[in-house]
Amino acid sequence: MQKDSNLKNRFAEFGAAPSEQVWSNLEAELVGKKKKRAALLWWTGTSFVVLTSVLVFLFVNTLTPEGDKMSKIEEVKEPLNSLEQKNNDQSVVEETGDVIHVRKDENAADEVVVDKSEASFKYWGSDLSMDESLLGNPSTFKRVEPAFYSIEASPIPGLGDSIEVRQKDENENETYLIADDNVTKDSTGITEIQNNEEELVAQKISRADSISPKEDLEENSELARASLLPEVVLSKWSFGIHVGEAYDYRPVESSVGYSNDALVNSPAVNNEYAVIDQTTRFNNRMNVHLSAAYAIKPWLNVSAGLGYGQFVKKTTGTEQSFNSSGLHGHVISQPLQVNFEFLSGQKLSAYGGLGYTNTYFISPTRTGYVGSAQIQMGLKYQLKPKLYLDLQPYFQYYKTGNEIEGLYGNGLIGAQIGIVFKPLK
Amino acid sequence: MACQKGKLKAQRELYDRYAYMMKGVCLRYARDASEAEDYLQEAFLRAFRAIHSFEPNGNLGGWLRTIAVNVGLEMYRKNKAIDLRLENYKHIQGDAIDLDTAFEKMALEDLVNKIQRLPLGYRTVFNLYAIEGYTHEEIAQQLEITSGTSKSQYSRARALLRQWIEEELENEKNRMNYAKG
Repeated sequence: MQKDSNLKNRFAEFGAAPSEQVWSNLEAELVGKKKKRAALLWWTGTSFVVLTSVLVFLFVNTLTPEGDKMSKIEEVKEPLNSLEQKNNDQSVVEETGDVIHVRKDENAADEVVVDKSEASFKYWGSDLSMDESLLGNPSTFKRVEPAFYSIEASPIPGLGDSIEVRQKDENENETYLIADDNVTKDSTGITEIQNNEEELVAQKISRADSISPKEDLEENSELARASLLPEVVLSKWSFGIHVGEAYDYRPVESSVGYSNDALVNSPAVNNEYAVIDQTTRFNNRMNVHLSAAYAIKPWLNVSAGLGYGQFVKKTTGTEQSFNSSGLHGHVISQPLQVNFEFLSGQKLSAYGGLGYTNTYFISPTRTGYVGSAQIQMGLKYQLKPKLYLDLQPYFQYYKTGNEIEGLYGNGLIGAQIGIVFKPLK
Repeated sequence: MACQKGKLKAQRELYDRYAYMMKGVCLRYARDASEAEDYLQEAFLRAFRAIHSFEPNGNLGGWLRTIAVNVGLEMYRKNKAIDLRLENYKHIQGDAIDLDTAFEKMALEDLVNKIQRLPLGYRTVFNLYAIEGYTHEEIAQQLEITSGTSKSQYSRARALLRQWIEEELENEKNRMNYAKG
């Protein structure tokens, strides 16, 4: 024992100068780690900004896809027939703030509620029937003169203040337009629009003493819009939850054993390494993935999501003997996909697309971000009116030059199955 | 401490100060100098990651040394499944030379070379017992073996070292005789 303690004392001062390579490797790891952290922040920040921008853009476009179409109202009421009649009626369009009221004269509002069934919204290029649920309070649209109805201007300030009131004649082919940009003024300050002999003259004056119940109109219009917008917005969106499995492998050449260790009486005793064997590492990854998709066109959508996965490592070959299989790490992924539908049946549709996935690997040996390009195909089957079953095989290719690549291989083949919910068609 | 803030310059200073000692520890647990440098790199990486947990008034050298030993032990655990070589040395016994005297006379580099040649289990137990000063019970706990196994591996490690030293002495003797003859 005394002798052993001598040995301990002798070794207390023992050391050896490391090669320069050690510090170079360390420095690369230390600096690389900072870079990776910066890259992680950069990617997360960029992804957030891009996703937020896309969502804001899509949302704003949903509200005002082409200027102020939200404010357009198509009327089907009986028109006035002659200019004289119109002049006699002294129809007045009065603009106060962003609400226009039209009435016969200055002293009598004579407002009449429009029959809801007679009005329709023109929204985003397609007619939406203005049923009671969409219209909200019927006083939203008030008739203040037989041919005119008070309406609101664009709900988005600055995105178009033109107002359109249309009338159809017996043949339903005549339209009257009142718009800020199309007005002319007479010497009394009254603004007139006269499109042709048969059309109505609408007069527009700016007066402070409006007698129209502006507050009611505004309030009711808000209600109408509030009831309409969520449905319009939701009709473009779908939401999915998927589970899946992905698989990658990488053949590696590993040196195992050492001549001086006299491992299993290897014949290669005169060389440094006794055994060189081929090992293949397999990674099975199980994922769960939430996503939201927006339909730019009925056949084209963009989706973004967030996924979590665990991967299990398996090895074959020599490495198998000292690398036990089992849970090896976790991944967090942020996929972005563009898919187009190329076949569409009554219940079944097929789509394909491209994507980019940021994946953050967390494993006992390495941690880091890696980007991958992705190509995917899919089949979607309608289970219920709002519910679809989605099967999507895909192939991911990792960006090269990343240290993760060496461990997890270049490619990943996977498939996911899930449910897609589309709140409104 | 700048090193705790992750300053590269401070990390380099710490490395320069302790790398020599750390490599000495790693050399004893590794099979060769190359593997020792791998251990050294891993030990410093762990140290830099965990440096914030180090008490400024503590013994930094001792703390780093413990990390290096732990890296060696981890490699032992990772590789013990292929340590089939133990069986090949079970027959080695004997006490022909006074090993402790031989240890004292040998150059440390020479001794380290021989320690590196020991099978993994022997090497680890020898390092922990003879140099780090752990008891067989402590070693048994660390390596998840019985204290009896620790004792027998230590004993066989010594026997192997003795055999190699004797072989060297014999070769040296033959060489001298040849030169004289």
